[in-house]
Amino acid sequence: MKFIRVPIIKTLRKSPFKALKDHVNIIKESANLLKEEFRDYIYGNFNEFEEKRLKVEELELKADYIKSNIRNHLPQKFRMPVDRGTFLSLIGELDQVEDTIQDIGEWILIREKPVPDNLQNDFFSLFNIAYKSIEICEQSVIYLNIVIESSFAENERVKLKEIIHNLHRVETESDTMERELTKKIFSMENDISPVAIYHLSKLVFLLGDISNHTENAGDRIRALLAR
Amino acid sequence: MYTLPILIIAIIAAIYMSWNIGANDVANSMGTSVGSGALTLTKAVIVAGVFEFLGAFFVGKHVTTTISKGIVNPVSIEPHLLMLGMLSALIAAALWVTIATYFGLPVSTTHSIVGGVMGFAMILDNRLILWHKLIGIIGSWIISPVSGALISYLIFLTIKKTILSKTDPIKEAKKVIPFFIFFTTFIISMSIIYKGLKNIGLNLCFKYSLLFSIIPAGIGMFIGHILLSRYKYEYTDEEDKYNKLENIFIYLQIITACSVAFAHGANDVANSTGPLVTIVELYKGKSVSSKIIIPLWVLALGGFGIVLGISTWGYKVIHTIGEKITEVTPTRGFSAELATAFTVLVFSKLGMPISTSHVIVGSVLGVGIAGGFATVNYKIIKNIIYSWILTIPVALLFSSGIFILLRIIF
Repeated sequence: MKFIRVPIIKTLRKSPFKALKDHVNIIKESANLLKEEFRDYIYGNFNEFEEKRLKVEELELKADYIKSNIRNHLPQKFRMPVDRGTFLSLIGELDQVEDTIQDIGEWILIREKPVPDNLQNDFFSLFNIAYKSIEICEQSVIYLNIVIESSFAENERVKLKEIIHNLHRVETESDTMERELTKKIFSMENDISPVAIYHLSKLVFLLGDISNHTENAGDRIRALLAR
Repeated sequence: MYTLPILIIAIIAAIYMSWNIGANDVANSMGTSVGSGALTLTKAVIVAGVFEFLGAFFVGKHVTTTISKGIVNPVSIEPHLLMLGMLSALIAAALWVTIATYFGLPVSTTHSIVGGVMGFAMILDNRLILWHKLIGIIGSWIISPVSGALISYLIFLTIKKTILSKTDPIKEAKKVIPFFIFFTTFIISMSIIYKGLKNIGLNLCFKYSLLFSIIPAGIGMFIGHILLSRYKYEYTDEEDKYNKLENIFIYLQIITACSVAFAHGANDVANSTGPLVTIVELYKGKSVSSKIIIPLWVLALGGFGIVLGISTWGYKVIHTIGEKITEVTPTRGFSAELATAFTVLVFSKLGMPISTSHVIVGSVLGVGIAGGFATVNYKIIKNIIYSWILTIPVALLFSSGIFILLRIIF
């Protein structure tokens, strides 16, 4: 609007931490879609898969847009109460989570075959762990906003650190499960095709990657809290 | 001598200058209240309209006196020239503010009028300018935003230490807020009562003013305490806890929003009424003495102009700002506004013409320094300093030019 000469208008802008919340909401939404995709996949039901994959793709674009918006609109002149570099690498990690969600859907669709019966439960467990790590990640970004609102109150920072600690626990859990599941897949080398082994073991790797990235995101948030 | 046309033009120019203040500067003071959601647009317009007028009417005379006779020595100028000079200052300032507004430069109406008054005096004689007073005024332009920043920093730090950092912030807020109410009410009462009620024939000394200000402040504190102790709360989650806390601060921010509007009216009305008062006095045939009696209708006219500015253009600007700076939450807005109201009222009482807009920016930055905002644009300081440096010479030149022109016409 023209005919405005008030300096207050240029003094503040939307908090990038709130934008981060928008970003993590999209990750959660995509994770929910992936949950449906994954169930369909395990039971070999590929009818609505493509539709869901497209939705995830759309969400990924949206997340990308938020990410670049934060990056582009965080010029040097805006001071933040936290380290800018760490903040930017936090967005990077969150974006990797979203990318991995998309990759999993696409990787599944490359080979439209159901999962062998004796592996189904293991895959469900591994997926649930990845999903849980996303939930905790979302929770910690929401809590990061609470910490900012409290202007870095000590007790709120402690609570956030506790939440982040869970991410480490979940990541370790995921690591163990990945190792065992991969072993189990390879132990079936005489029963299933090498292609299936390759496809399944890469899927394990991708699922494990989600908790790696959420853990990294947690580490970045913890670095932001360091005073 | 055609003094009547000069008076009429001066009245129109003064209304236009006040209109400018209402159209833009008021929005700057109300922005933090609308941005935080403490006031809706309609409420903001009503609060601004009422309190700007009251501030102008009750406390406007101190700064008006300074603009009228604190920058140039009126006694040593021939009345006719002084009349034309003040008119040139008014037109020049209004013109520059209009141009700056078009280009979105954050210039201050106060700086413009001071530059304008200097301008015509310099054409006549350098020695007419009361340099020692002028240096004081320019000093106050630097001190006032800094003091706004310092005070808001301390207020927000207090909120942070006594409320935000506690496990149950609402419980602590119930104890601390009554003191905030006391402090805020006390400042406003004091500014109205001390030297302010002369207009209606009441002139109380400092001691009595102090006493009569403590009474409403105490009542406010008591009511606040009663209301807060009745407030029952439980929160669903951590987010809800801070939301509830911010909701309590909305009521405080409504008080400070009124105070800022009041303070703003008190200081900025002078930018239009200062020159007008001199012209009116000269029109009545009185020579301008150092003792000044400001006609109340002039202050009312200034207040009216501001209200006109708010209702015809300012509300749009308030709306735009309100949408832009939603990052201000009531705790932050309260800190910045209380600091602004306090600073501006103190400077108004001292008769110092300062820029309220710059003080509120200073106060917002102060909250930022205390860690109240996720992102703060400190570069705005540079913009503001540039606009200072630009405003004085431009307003000065405009005023000189118009003065030469007016001398030819009249």
